[in-house]
Amino acid sequence: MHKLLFVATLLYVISFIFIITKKGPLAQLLLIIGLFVNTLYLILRLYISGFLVLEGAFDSVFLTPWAIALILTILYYWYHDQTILYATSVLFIVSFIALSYPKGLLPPSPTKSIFLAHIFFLTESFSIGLFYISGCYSLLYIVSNNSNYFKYVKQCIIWGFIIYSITQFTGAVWCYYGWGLLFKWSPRHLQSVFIWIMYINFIHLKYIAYFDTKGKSLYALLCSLITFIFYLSSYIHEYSIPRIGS
Amino acid sequence: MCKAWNILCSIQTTFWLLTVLSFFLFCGFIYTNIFFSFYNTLDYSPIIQWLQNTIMTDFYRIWWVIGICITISAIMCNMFFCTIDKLLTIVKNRPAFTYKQLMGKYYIAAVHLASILILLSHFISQKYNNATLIDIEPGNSVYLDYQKLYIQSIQVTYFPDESLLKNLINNVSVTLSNNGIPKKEIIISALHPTSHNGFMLFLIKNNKKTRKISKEIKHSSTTSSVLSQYSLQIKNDYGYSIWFFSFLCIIVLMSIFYISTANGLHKK
Repeated sequence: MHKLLFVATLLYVISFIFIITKKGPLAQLLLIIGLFVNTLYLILRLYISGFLVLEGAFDSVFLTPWAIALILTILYYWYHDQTILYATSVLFIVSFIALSYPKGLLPPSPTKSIFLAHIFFLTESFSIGLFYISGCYSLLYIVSNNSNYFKYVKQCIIWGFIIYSITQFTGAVWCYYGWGLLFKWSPRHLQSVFIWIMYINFIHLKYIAYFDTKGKSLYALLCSLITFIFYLSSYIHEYSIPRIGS
Repeated sequence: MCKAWNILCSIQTTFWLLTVLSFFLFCGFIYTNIFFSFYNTLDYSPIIQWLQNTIMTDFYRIWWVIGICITISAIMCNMFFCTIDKLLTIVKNRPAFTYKQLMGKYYIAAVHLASILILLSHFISQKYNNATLIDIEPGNSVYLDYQKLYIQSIQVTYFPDESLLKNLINNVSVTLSNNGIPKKEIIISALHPTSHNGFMLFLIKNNKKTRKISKEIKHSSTTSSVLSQYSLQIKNDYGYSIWFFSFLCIIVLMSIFYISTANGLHKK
């Protein structure tokens, strides 16, 4: 089953190679096939324990590559721009992380299986996927000065921010139902609020005169890198937790 | 006076306050990683009381919590005055705006006012909530306003034996009843919290490290050891209701605002 993740990652890598060699349609085709294989892998993960458990697929590490592949496909058809696919570089980095991560299932418990928890992980994966992609386009804008990239940065951050706000909302309600609190003074919650505040700040940059588009791009790149480091550190933190079915 | 008002209403002030808040949150992230159990006590006690108890002995570990409280208060003031300033500008120059521009400005003002409500609701929730924790044991009594109910039965459901998850809990549910009258039964499950007469009823995990609990559950064979890890919480929390509707309002308004903006951009 886990070979499917390997195949999906390989397809994403080849897609990236095609886009840097200016073979856009081929890159898109491989991205879609990769997305299909990745979807199949997530469906199979639902039954990883021999019993249908949603936690199998709704795990941020494995859901994020799929979310990024889906976002890139949507962006490609929305803007009809091949350069969108340069962000497959982000896709294969997160796919490599998923590939090198323990594949089992974290032991489920009723508080973790509440329906809101799955919405939380789904929206979280989409929002951080959008933030990573925005980082890639920020870098491309800084290097090439192509204004299209800055347009993509803004769109990715705005939609990422809205979805991340839904993540904050569902996460807080989940925490309230599961632990009786809206907010816990734990690293995970503080990290999450920190990322949210950074992007609230980005949205306000529009009204601050001394931040030109280069400055905003640099800020977006920094936010994206910090988000990536934070999530990577939380993945490493959970790396040693015993898993089922790995 | 005018200069002070300008600083108070300025978005640059917002930017720097949010940057300072990010700094304190980042420090908090590092400190809570190092002293995880120390901050666990803050979760279940009023923040002012907790700060009073720890300020003399543990200042080196709590300074960033004080920083967060002060910065959030300053952000609330900034948001309030900024929104008032913007609304005054709209009222003064109303004919100069198109209907769409006017709606956009009202959306932004509403989002900021709802954000202030969210921050206030945390304060109300901390100060005025009425929560009771009850051990899950058959026969224990529960008061909901003037109604006395009893824990009639407890059901612990495990994952099927043929799966790799055998011995792990799938769900815990508690049935409350009024002297065995079936019509007045309330079923509370860990997967589906319930509300009754304005009270929220849910099964919460006790304040222990999650990782430890999952190990305990894995090796436990008796229902009583499982139940000791859960409590029935009955909460009457006005802060939560305000928080819930304010946050929902923000998400809906932001989505409408950005969808209309994105459509405009696409048409251009």
